[in-house]
Amino acid sequence: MGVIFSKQGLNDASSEYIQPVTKDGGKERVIISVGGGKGGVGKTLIAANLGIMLAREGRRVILIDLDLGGANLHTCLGVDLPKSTLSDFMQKDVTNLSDILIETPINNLRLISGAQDILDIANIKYMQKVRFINKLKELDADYIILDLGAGTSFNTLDFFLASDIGIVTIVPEPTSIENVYRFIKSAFYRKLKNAESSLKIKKMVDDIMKNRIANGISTPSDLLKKIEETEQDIGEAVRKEMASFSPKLIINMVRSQTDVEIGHAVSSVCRKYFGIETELLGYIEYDNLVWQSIRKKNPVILEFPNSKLISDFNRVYKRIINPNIRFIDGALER
Amino acid sequence: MLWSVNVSNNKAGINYYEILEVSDNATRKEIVEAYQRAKSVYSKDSMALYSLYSDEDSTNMINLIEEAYQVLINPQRRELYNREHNINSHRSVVNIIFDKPGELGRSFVETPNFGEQENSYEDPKINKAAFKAYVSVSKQESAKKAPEYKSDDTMESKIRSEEEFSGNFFTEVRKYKNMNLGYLSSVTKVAVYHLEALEREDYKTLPARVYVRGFVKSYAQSLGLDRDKAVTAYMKRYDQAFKK
Ligand SMILES: Nc1ncnc2c1ncn2[C@@H]1O[C@H](COP(=O)(O)OP(=O)(O)OP(=O)(O)O)[C@@H](O)[C@H]1O
Ligand SMILES: [Mg+2]
Repeated sequence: MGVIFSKQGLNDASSEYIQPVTKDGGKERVIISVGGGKGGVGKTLIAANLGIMLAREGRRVILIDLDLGGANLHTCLGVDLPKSTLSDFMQKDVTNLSDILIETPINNLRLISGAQDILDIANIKYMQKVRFINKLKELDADYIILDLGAGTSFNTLDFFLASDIGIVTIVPEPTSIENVYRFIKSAFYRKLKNAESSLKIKKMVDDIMKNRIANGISTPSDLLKKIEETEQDIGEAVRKEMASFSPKLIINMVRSQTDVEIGHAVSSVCRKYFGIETELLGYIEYDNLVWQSIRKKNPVILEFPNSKLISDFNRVYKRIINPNIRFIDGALER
Repeated sequence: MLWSVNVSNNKAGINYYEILEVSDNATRKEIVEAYQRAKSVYSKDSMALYSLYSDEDSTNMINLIEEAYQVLINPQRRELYNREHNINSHRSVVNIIFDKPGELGRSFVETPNFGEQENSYEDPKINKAAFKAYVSVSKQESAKKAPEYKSDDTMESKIRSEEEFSGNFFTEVRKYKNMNLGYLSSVTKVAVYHLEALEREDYKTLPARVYVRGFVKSYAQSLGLDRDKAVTAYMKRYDQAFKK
């Protein structure tokens, strides 16, 4: 994706983390997306706070609200209902995404809103999507954060797959867990689908999937096994696709140690059941401060900077920008 | 792999270490902890199984976990299992000191302080000996003085004309320059297990691409190589590996 990372101040022992650097002339950026399938699990909260944290450290950040139809990222940031939105871009009267950028009260942080969009994410045409993703890569920023909204439409999955770091939000409830598995599974099949022409596996996958019941395929790893039985080389290629697919998990609204462990458990199940490696970035506690800050239309991190919630966010944030810092839990740690 | 469903007809493919999610070098303590964790993850009432595992799947899985535990916790049976499966379970010093985030890392684990459970939560145990060794090594290395090495003309010219920048080449240069991974990790701030994976070109165990790129860059720079050339060459191979 053309992103170059360098250790900030390589020779400076005090500096610990990685940041994107701009290669001479070229604009390099990291795209992070926040999804998770289910509605109301905290995707917007996470995207907004992540954006603010990066911006406060001097990174130039653009937050994009792709929750068309349910856009509320602007409210989380204390921005009034924006005049220009993604609709203006998708419907072509606006050429560049930079034309619909909105300043926020936070330095270095800008927003592209999907508010009041007549468009539904599922109805964005293929060409519109391609154009959007291409233009995304022209934006002048260090980090671009996509708030994906709920659901597993192809468009949502494609935005997830187009990002460098894909975050999946879970809350410790059966419904959320079900949706997370569906999201991860759909994203993986979508990734495979997108790679089909280069992998030359279309016909094989189609044939196998057509008889998926008879073939006993219910997971990506079953599919892999079947492909490997049929043709070893292609199996190897699919295995590589699988290895390069590694969603990050955040478990939100936790109220107990047991809830935190659900995060680890989901990660274990993804590995065993799907054959997909995920990484648990950490947990965020349930905290009433969230709604208090939303009522004040002020981001929680600005309203309650010293809260426990914000220290949760801080730890998650650190693990995103520096993969050396991991949420370790004995044997589940790779 | 969906072990739970294909348990009976797929025995040969089952790896007990993978079932407990421990490394081949896991200590007994790690195995016990992993076993307890796995049992709670795959028990019938585990929320994480929701929508994927039936009760029967869960039972199969628990049986498998028991089986794996009974073998791995018994030194003789483990030894035999390792031999039958060609598993090399040697423990190098580097492994014990750096490569065991499960042991050491626990000291960095934060645990949520949920009121009523405050007292019931046991402090993570730290492997004291390993920790001491770790601290003394990092102190020693925090001086960050590159080790001395004997310059060799053939090697120097090889370095100058290098195009491929393979993992093996990195290892070769590193050894030539008398640098160990612990030292490199302290200069680059990249964990030893990532550096090892870089050298092995074990892309699967490396994190997302953006990070790998950063790792290669720091690593090459610390070895005194042409870092941009190294990044381009290494990442090209990396990308091909995923495209193929
Ligand atoms: N850790 C938390 N503690 C307390 N409340 C939270 C927490 N996280 C999110 N909430 C609340 O849950 C609600 C949903 O959060 P948010 O809007 O961020 O979710 P979402 O996944 O973006 O939802 P949608 O799918 O509708 O876009 C909000 O009212 C938010 O204040
Ligand atoms: Mg939202």
